[in-house]
Amino acid sequence: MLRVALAGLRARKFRLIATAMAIVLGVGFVAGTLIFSDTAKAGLYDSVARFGRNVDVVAQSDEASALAGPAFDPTILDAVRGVDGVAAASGRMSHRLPVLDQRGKLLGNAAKPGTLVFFGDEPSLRPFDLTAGRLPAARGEAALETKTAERGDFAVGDTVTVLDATQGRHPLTVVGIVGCGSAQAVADDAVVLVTEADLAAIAGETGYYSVVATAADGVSQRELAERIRAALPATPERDLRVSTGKDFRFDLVNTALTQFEAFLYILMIFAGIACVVAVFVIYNTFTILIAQRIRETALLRCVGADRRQVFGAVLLESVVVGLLGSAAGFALGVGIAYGLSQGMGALGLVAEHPLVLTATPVGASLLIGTLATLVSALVPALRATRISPLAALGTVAVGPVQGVRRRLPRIVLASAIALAGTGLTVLGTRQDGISMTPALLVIAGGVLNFLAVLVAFPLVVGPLIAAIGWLPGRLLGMPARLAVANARRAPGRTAATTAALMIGIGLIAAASVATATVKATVDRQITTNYPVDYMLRTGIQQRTAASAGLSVGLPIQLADRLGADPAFSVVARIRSETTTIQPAGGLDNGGEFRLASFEPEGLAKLPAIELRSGSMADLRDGTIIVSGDTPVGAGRTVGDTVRLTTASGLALEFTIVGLANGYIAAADALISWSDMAALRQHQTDNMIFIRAADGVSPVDSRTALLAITDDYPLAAVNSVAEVRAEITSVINATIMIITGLLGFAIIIALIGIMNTLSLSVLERTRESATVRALGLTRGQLRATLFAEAMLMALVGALVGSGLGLLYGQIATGVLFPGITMVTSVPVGQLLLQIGLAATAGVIAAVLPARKAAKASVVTAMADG
Amino acid sequence: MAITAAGVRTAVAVTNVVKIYGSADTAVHALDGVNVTFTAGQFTAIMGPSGSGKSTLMHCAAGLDTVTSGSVALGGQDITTLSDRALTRLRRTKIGFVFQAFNLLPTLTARQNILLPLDLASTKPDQQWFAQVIDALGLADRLNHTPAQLSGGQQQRVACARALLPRPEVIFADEPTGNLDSRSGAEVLAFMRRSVDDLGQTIVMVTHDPVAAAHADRVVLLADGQIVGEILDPTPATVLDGLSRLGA
Ligand SMILES: Nc1ncnc2c1ncn2[C@@H]1O[C@H](COP(=O)(O)OP(=O)(O)OP(=O)(O)O)[C@@H](O)[C@H]1O
Ligand SMILES: [Mg+2]
Repeated sequence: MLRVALAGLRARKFRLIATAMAIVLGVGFVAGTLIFSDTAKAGLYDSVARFGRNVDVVAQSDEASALAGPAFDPTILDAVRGVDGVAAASGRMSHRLPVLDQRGKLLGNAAKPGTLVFFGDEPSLRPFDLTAGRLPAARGEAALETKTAERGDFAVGDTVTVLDATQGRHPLTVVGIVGCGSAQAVADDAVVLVTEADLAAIAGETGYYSVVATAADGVSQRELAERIRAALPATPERDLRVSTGKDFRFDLVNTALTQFEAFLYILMIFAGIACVVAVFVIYNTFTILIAQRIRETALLRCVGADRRQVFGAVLLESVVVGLLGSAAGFALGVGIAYGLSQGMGALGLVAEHPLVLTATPVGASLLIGTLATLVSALVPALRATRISPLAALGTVAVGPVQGVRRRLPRIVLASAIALAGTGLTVLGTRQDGISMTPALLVIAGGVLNFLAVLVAFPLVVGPLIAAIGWLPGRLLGMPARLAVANARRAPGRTAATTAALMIGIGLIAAASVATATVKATVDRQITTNYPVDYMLRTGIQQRTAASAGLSVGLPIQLADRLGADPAFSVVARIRSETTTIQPAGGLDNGGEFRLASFEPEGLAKLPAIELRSGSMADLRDGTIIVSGDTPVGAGRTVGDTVRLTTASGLALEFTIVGLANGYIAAADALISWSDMAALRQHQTDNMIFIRAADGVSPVDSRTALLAITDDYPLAAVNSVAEVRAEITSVINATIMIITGLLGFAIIIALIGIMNTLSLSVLERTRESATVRALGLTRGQLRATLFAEAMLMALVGALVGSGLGLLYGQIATGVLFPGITMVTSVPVGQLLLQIGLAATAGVIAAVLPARKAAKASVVTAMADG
Repeated sequence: MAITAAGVRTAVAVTNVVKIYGSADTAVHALDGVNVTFTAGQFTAIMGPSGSGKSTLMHCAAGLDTVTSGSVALGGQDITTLSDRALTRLRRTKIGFVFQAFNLLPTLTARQNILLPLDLASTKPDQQWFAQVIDALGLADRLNHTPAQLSGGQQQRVACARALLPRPEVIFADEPTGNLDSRSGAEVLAFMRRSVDDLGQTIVMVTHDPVAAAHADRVVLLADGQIVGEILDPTPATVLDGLSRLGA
């Protein structure tokens, strides 16, 4: 029987290539993700490890991260140096301060505006390598981190400017460039290495965030850590953690990994989707192969093969195909991983590192690929065992037309699953709160409903094809009508083929609808909440500024100067403050609650803010208007009390006098101008809303605006039009990435279409010859197959889009609880996707169609 | 079964046709200089031993296969020089086929199968003619059945209707009764005979069965790719006699 199976494999190798292709692509994606993951982690380890180079023991504050944290006073370094067994020790300082590029604009981003660092004088303990120039040796000198220098286009000899906490400017001469390695920590920050004296002077701080030490020969890391711990006892004002260099490196990598791993998980999910689609394709191929081999199998049974042997032969075949496909898939995965790490390395998203090949991806690839194939072949193999020996005696002159057996159980099963799926979905949408449960319920419901569609699909695919094929049938005549008839003849086969495509297209459609809805919602919020032309904001996040003790507000003179300019008709100041809502329990953002306030003169000139209930006129001291769309605002009504505490511990109480739609000036709530003044230490502005005067062109108003803001490096200018464009581009990028990630699944599904068609072409050799003899031209025969592929792709795409549309909308509703989403269906985009799927289907039919058309009529007729 | 001498017209003329399969040392001379004409309105049977080239002759005469040399004229038009496309169009209306294995499309109903050549040519059937053919074949109550729901004899009758409906210049039938029992076979043959007599249809049929051949007006004998004789107004006895002389 082994020989029979292997001989069968050899004879059908071309038919199995498509099966193998599906496995190759699925496994390729999995292996690629795994290898890329290993490689990226190794790169990360390498680069992060520079912070731990030669470090045997590190003493740091409990909350210290790699680049920022509370400082220890300078005497700690001498204390460590004095410990027996310490060969060398270094104190590390860092301080978050805005760094400006050569045009005077912020070089970092809102979350990481810049960091000043000093890493000690001990060469062996420096966590960087000098790549150009020299290290800063005197005051007024600085070295820039490689990526920072690249971004700001700095070279040795240029001047870099650092702003201190009160926005005083400190120009420094760039004397060198250093590579710190760690992609995560420095990639988007602006890192400036200065002397200890400069850091102390500019930041106004003299402490270290950590002290690192190298052990003398013969002293173990653990031993030295013990000694240092004993010498530096923690005190109430100094929480101290002493760890070995090994643990330190491990922690560094782990911290860096957590962000990165989320990305790897997403990749893995998409790799999993590709594998599921591959399973469909493989299952379908084996089913068709078994159907085509009925005579042969029956003959084997006639000559004495028992059911077990028939079963075994099919499984053996699947294992061989699975193994070969997985091996090829692994090779493809190596290529994918190489491409990923090169591409992302070039973008600075991962540290560059040669490919890391461990045994895990090899094993996982072979196991996943082979198991997937084996599982896919199980049902077809069982079916093969049911072939009666009698089938060898029947004469089958033409390809079979299969009906759907067992209609009723199918309907019952599909209905039951759909009921459960719909139940879960409804349950998910009914739940509120900000936990993940509703989303998970909806996803589970969606998966179940998809399964229900799968079970019912063979029953409905025929009528669907007929309906969709009606118009082409009228337009193209006989070839299209033959295509409809052919696509309908084996509903199970067509259903499985199209379902594979349905998954990919459905997910893309869901993503399209979700992103379009988010965009429409954000758009509405922009129009209602920012009824202005420009918005000035501070270029640094409040949270970042607060933790670094920076005063980053917009100086009040800025709004004064803008107000004096006739180019602007409205200049409204907004001040804001972050507080904590009480009680904070159960809120996933820790109860963070942002308050904003408009200067009354400015507010008066702006269009009235639309409220869901209550009145703006009631906003006075002690009252508050809360956004009704936010998790905090949901469920509160006018008259309720809101209790808050400020960062400095002040307890506040407000009475709600109105509920607004969406966020107001990027805050959760509005309070009066005088209440805000009482809350804050710095009297600076956080935002300025600006409207150009009538008759001033956008170009002119922009020029006037920039002329003023150029004197204020931390003022970020947003035009509302630009914000819209930015959101659109982010959303387009999201769709492109998702489509790209689903590309594998879609290509596998298209291979499935190609596979089904080429097997069908083989099966219909005689029929094709007959219609050719009766007057179908070669071109028309090809058109028949193109039309059949297009119909299958269309059915998959249409049903997939329908499901995706539905769940895309439900999911957005659940993912943003409390927010009234503006449902938007990107009809054009969906139609385009469906059109592309149909076209891709036609492309998948090119090879089978060529093969069908090439056959000579006479030889095809002679084939039994 | 006499043919009227007046107005004799040649439907298909095969002139010096040579068909060689393969090349060089493996070459098979399936047809070796065949000259034969099929008169319009006549029922011709082609007979000969297995492998003598009967099917090949039919395929070449019908333009399904190319000839190595020689020419084939259909209704006066040389078809050996036509492109595949032109040949295909020709087949839709000028040539009918009846196959041994029926070759109906399993996805189409009997009616759709019968109308297939006309559909391909985008022409409407003549309703009266359609009714007449269906009636003659006794298929009126079977039109909406698929081939799987029809017996072999019924399937072959559908195939006959399909071949006849476009009123082709000639119908080629390769062993049309080969897969049928004698009664169904006799029905099909009787129908073919009638369509020649009553409708003036031209039919060329390949058969191994002397009784079937006896339905024809003329039997052409083929051996080793050459025409080796002909029998006019055949009877089973004269056909058997002619065949046995081939063997000798
Ligand atoms: N495609 C082909 N390639 C090579 N040789 C062929 C091909 N088709 C037919 N032949 C050869 O040509 C010769 C004539 O074949 P043909 O099919 O015409 O015989 P036939 O008279 O119809 O026989 P039968 O009564 O068995 O159907 C045979 O020797 C056959 O082997
Ligand atoms: Mg033959």
